Amino acid sequence: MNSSTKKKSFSGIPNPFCGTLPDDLEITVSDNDVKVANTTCPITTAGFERKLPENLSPQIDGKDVSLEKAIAKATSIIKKSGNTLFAGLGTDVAGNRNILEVADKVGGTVDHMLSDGVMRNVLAMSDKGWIMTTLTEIKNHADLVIFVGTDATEHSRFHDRVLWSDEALFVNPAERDVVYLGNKMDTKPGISPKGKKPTVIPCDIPELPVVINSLNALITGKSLQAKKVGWAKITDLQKLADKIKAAKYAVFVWSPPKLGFDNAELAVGAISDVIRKLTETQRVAGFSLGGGDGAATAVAVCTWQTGYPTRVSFAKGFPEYNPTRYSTREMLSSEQAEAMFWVSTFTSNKLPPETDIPTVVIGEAGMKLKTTPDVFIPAGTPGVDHKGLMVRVDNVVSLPVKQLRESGLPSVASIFDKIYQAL
Amino acid sequence: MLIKLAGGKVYDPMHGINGQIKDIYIRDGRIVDKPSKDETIHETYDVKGRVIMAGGIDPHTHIGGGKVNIARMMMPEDHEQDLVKHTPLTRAGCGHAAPSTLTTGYRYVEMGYTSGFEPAMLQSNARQAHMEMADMPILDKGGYVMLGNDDMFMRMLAEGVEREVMNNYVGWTISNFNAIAVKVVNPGGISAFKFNQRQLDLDEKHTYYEITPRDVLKTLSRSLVDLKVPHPLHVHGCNLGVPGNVETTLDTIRGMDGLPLHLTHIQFHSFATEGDKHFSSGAARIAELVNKHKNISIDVGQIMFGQTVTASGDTMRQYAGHSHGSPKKYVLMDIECDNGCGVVPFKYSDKSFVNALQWAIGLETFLMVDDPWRVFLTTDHPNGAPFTSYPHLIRLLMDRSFRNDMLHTINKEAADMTVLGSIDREYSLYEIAIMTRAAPAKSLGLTDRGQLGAGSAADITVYKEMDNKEKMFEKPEYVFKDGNLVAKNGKIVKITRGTTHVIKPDYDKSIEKPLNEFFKKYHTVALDNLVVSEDEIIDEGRGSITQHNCSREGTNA
Repeated sequence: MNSSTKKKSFSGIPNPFCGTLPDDLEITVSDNDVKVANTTCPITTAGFERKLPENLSPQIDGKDVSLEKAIAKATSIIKKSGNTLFAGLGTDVAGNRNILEVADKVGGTVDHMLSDGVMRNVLAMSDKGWIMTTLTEIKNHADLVIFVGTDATEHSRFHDRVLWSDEALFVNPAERDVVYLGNKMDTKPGISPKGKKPTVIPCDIPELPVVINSLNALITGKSLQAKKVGWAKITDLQKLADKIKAAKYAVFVWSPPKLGFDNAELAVGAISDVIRKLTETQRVAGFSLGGGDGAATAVAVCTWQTGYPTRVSFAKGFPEYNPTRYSTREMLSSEQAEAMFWVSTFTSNKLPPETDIPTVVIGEAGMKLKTTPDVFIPAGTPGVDHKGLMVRVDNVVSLPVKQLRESGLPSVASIFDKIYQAL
Repeated sequence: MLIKLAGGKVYDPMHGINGQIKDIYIRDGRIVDKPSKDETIHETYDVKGRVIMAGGIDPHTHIGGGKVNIARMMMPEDHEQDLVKHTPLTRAGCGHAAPSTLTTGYRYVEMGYTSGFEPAMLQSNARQAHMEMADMPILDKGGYVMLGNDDMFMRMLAEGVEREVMNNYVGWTISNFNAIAVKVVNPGGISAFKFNQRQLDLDEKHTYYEITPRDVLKTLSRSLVDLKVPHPLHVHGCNLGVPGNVETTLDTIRGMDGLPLHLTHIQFHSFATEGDKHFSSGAARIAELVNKHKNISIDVGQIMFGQTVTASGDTMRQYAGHSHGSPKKYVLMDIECDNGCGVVPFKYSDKSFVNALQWAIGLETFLMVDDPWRVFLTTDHPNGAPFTSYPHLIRLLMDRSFRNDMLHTINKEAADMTVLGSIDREYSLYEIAIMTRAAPAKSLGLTDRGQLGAGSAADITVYKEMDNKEKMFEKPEYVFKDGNLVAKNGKIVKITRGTTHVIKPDYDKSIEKPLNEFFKKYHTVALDNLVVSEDEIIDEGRGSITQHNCSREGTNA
């Protein structure tokens, strides 16, 4: 097709590689090579600009085969398996819909590659609820942004599009107060365009629940005997408490993958407790960054189709949810899973976990696998190789991602549709 | 393919047919006149003695979109009691208060309903609402797009833009989010809550924009009239759940200068303050005024006793009410300088004075509003109760002795304070057919639904007539969707795909310039990416769009 060799320019393109789905990319495509003109985000550049490998053929045991043969083999693996794990789930709405249809039919289990982080939020939310906000609200309302346990440097678009936006309806963005709570953080992105520096309160990240609970105590007017808690000075926390109470619309920002300690849902719960307490008299909200690799999308679709945010088993014929037992890790280590499908079409380096059970990888075409799976089917990336729909990290906004090139790679949805037909 | 339903008792209020014995013919998904004698009838259903109505239409049910998905995620323990196994034909899922999308579709259809309308579709969440509704098999659907709290609207109103400019914005919104109506929730109040205002009465000013809920209601209602949108402005009023809010509701009705309004889940807005507990029924006063004002239609939002979850755009009132919730958890969200949502689980108890009186207030309203064309049967699913409680509600309306038995079981003080026991009225099948089919269809401008005339879609429900109306309405014998037999004796027998009902008002595209500029400056999504294209809904044949005339001819109010 000639159109693939002609240079084409696109503007206002949504970015499927970022959980915040920024939709302002300027992109040119010539001869199926994609170039992003206006980003400094390395994940975005790497995602869009990776070259199509020469060999786009599906493989069985490392040998090229037709798509039909690969699908037949993948189907036979499902049929032989008593419990197939559908993991990764790095795909768009349509891909997730069709994976769930197959998993439901065959009594499989579904889990997203980033569910460990997602569950830190979900467990806190389903325990006591929470008070949250979205990107446009932060951009226009927030006069104080508190980063908890994250410097959010991997979310550069949050900084340039939201935190330091050129304009806002109700605040002067350059005057926003920024606070960091955590350690080993690059706080430079928290310096306002006018040079206003952020407040940094060093603290031990695994101690965040107790640090936040102490902040909550200070906010409610209690005095604490300790001078420090989880490295953080009580005097610093008191100043923070005062700052928050003086704010019109404070936002606590965290990133679940950065809360990598046991029972980290307690940190999310503690932040939510503070927000609930403050909301009695003022407006405060939370915002969770993340949602990349289609996590927000997978969680949304799974929730609306089953009632549960992944980690769902259909083995009993109905959706059974268990946030630990049906994790990919547990499914493999406890040998519950008899076969694994790994779906990952966004970032190249999200490789399947090592396992001896039969494995089908449906992934980004250039994926460098460490071991040869039983079946490999190169699939298109939504927003590059085909259009699709994706859910943003705040679980409110969803966007249509676009087709930019003519790779001919099949979508995950079409692959699972064929598998469903073959079952 | 020609199908005959032979000898049923037909209830088709749109044509004044009240239980007459009549054959119905279906060809290619549509109801047709009696064919000529030489035509072959391919299939005949003997429905002698059966009650036949058009498929049910739920004009206010929270079935899809972000807040429903939050409710699902927050309520894993509620799903446990109603996990749904897959069958060779149907998918697995969960039911009860916050059912999964697929189960929602099956359960509505099994109950004889063939259309459901999501009443709270945000611009910023419209795509997801449509995606979720697309995953509901068989059922037709549609959405009411929310306006009246978004900063674009608030600014335009505060700046006093010309009426035509506002109309263009409203028309643009309906068209570009593929909606069929417009809803406003706590007019201006969701926005005010973002500025820490904790209440906003009908004539109270928003602290930032300095406009009142009355301004918002009048402006939106007038725009919809100008644009000839069939359904009146769908209003979730001020002060939801506040004792004494009946005054606000009465003021709202009186103050519209004849402009049409649909007041939704009015039960939650009919509280007076008499008695020792300063909580009493305002239903009689509401009904009296509704009876007088032909520009007003309502739905009730009946509560039923048991666990449910409330999901609303009304952050201000959901926050205020969360302490009454159970289990003790709630989600609140400010959304995109557009709207908000609050999700609070509730367990309504028949032994609670307030809950028992709410139950009675809802029923009083149903029974005291004279004109069934202006009162629609809803529980505001899932806010008052899950939609699966409709058969029970219908029995309460149709069976006085059953209703009075139930009245004896509720909180004694509440029972003593309601006039319910003195109301003799029993709804007839004809009236039930009006309030669950004909009236919502007429109100929404669905000219070929909610009725059984030639040319209508063959969405038809066949019931075995029984004394126990709950049993009768629970599991219809046959449900046809677009002429396909889709459910039999309360079980799905065929999967089809429903359509999405929309209207497309005329508006001047010049509105897109200021909108684009506003979104570019202040939003985090470009306008082009925010709007929902028809192609997305059609989705290569997974869905379809049915566009109805944008005309107010023949509407209720």
